[in-house]
Amino acid sequence: MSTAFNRLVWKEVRSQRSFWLALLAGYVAISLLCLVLYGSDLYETVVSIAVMAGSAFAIGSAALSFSNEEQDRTALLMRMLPVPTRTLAGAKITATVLGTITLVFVCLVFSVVASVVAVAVSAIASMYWPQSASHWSGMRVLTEPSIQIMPVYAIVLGLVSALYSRTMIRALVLSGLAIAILCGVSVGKYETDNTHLLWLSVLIPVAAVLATMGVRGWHRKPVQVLAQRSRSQRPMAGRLMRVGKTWNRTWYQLLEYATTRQSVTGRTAAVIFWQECRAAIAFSLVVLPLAALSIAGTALFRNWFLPTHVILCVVVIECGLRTFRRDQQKLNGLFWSHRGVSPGLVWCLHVATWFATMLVLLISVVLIEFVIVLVMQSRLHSEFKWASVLATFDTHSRSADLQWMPIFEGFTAGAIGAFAIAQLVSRWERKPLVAGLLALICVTMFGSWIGYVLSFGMPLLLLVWPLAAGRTCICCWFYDSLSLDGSADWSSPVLPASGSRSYSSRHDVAPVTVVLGDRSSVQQLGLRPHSVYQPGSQLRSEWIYRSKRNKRMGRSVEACNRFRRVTAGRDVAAVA
Amino acid sequence: MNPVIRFQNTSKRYGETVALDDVSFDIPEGVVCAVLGANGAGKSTAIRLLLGLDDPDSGSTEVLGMNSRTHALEIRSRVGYVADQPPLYDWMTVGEIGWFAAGFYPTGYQAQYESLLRKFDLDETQKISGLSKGMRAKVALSLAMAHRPELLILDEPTSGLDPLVRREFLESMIDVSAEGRTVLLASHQVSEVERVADMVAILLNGHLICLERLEDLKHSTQEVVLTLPDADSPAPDIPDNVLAHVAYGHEHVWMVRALNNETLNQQCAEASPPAPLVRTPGLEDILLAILKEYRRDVFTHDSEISASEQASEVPR
Repeated sequence: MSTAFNRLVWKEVRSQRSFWLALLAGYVAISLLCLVLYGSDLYETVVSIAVMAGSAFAIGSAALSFSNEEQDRTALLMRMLPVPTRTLAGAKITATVLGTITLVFVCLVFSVVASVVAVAVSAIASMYWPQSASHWSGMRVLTEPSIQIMPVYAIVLGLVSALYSRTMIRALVLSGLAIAILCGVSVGKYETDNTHLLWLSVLIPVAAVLATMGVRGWHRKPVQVLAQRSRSQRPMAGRLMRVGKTWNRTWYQLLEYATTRQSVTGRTAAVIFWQECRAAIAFSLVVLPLAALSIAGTALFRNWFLPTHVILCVVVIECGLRTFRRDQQKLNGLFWSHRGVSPGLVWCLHVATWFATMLVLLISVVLIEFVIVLVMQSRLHSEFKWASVLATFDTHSRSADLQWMPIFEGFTAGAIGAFAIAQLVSRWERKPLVAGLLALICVTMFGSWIGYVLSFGMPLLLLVWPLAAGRTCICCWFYDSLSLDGSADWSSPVLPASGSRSYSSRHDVAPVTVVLGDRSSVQQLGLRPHSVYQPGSQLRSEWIYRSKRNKRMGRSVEACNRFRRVTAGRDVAAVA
Repeated sequence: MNPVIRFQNTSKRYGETVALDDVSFDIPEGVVCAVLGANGAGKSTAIRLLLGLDDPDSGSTEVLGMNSRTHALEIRSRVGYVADQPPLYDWMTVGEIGWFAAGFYPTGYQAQYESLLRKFDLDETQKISGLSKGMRAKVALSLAMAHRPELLILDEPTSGLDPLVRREFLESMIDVSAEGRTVLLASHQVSEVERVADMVAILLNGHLICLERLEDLKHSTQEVVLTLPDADSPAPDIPDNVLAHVAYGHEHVWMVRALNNETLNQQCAEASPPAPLVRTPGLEDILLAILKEYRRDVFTHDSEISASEQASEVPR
């Protein structure tokens, strides 16, 4: 192997090190919990989870190998290296395969060591808390042994999607969808054993050809942005964009109406509510159809699609992460600059909106499942009970010992705890993907804890609720500490001189807040309000202009300065 | 002597946008050639075509006597390139990225890279994510120069850098040029380019409108300032090649190429104003004048076409 190849492999391995370690940590955490929860099923469980971790690494590593370079703008460095395309692609594939194999190997070695520990742990545990007959088995639905062939498909599909999509999120979503469809088709065709997955091997050469074509294009001809038609020129995208514009117009009208309220608190509540609603509705419109498809897939086939419990879990986590995500990413402390309004009120409004969204979504998902069960009653798969919320309730309600209440308690505690955990995670981690993964691991551990508590018949009210409430309190405390700096003088403009380029931030987003006397002034300036925030008590409206492009941003700043000159700063304050 | 860079009737379009339109020019060895032009003039496209990162729609480009399309890898191994925002791996240290790049070039790269780091006063152990913009630019320049390229291509290398780093950068260019290597420098900083460039190529909307040695361009271009008795007095005709003419009340300024002093004095004597003031303009003034004049020509040409089209549509 040439030095160039070795250096490229080193670079790939080194750049994926954090991802590899994160998955290993996740595996260790989950398998340790499984050791306690599973007992005799230990071997099958830990092996399956190890393969799952390998698959996750394979798909993540392959999907990110090219799109990550494109997104971090290091693709140009790759293209400028005097190295043939085959060496470049070979190094990336080698790194992915090496990482996958070593991860699975390390996980299995760990499981052998851990199994020895498990025997001791079980022995000690059984001395103090004799286990009841009802084991928590939510984890079992995630650990089908037939997924063991998945890493191969994950690598190939991930590579193809990474080459053709060029952004990380898009690559991950595409490869995930491709694998889900493959699994669905495969399971729909054969349901008896796992050997049916071999027919999918035909796809590997096809994908390899696609990858070869893609990698040549990636290396030699970078994407020609100018050559592409704009979105509005594409018929379907154009129609969709027009729908978006209509919704935007309606939303602005609602927002304007919200700002006409007299009291500061009322205005703040209305404005924040409409702002958050805009994001929540879009989120719901994406989540509900996907959930319906997944539940239908699970009902018809086997557990190849996400079970409803996992969908609920994802919904709760995402709602928690989204509660403050936008402000965390874009505005940070500026978000709290609502003069005359308590930060606690703002916090409560955000949480209330997203908690309500979460509840609506949870109920909708359960209703969707109910409808699907009604419609497809005759075709339901026998293993659907493991994936269904309704089946869980049904099983427990028929039992003589257990009533609805403990299960309801478990679900509620899980939802509140997961929501709080996700908020807490979003406080530390601002990257959506990393925050999501982190929250998922934490919530899995939290869910296992609930299951563990339930399996011993311990009262949830005593154990789980204080935990969830404690996490929420910590979360509240963190956000309260970000409240408005009382010593800051918000009355004088701090907008820099016209033409200043000091706005370039890491995310290339420049928030410019302009506090204006009245709305007609905004129209005179010919600016388009991006969003509206609540001002101090003596002002009637506050407008935030934000632009992702320096050109547009410069125009906004210029217009703000012009407005300041016109009004001589009497009732104008601006914050940049 | 073979030119280091050769464009032969090169055209490149991106959809409706014409990035380069039938551009032909040669750049000889051992010069610092500055490519000037407004945003979207085609500077970066020209560089991408040279490096084989994109293929021309028609015509060809050659670097060091090799076709960019067919010998892209060899060209990249003999050319150094510094981009506007240097693409570097943030998680690597300054030393690591040099070690990584050394794997792709012949022996001696690492030693040269380390000596460049010392010259630029960079710490090998520092992470790239912790470097300032100027330091990142220095790392990128070190990486591009460590294999002693025969051609160094710089695309807006000094944008956003402080004057001190800018000066260091330009001094490096002079050093490279002194070693007989060629530098192609695309920049907006005309005053800086003026200090280091031997040749100037001016691009506008994908057209090459000027390729000349800087000294020749500056010597052949002069600014004539004439103050008339009042604003209503007619300005005399300047018979030479006028690039631009601006009137500030009763003061008129012409940018003239190949000025004939005798003819000028004669014209001015007929108009009986005071003696004209003739001075040598800076490159920035010349560039602006050329761009303005070219745009005016295009505008006039377009207006004539649209007028003739309108006339042809009138029903008889």
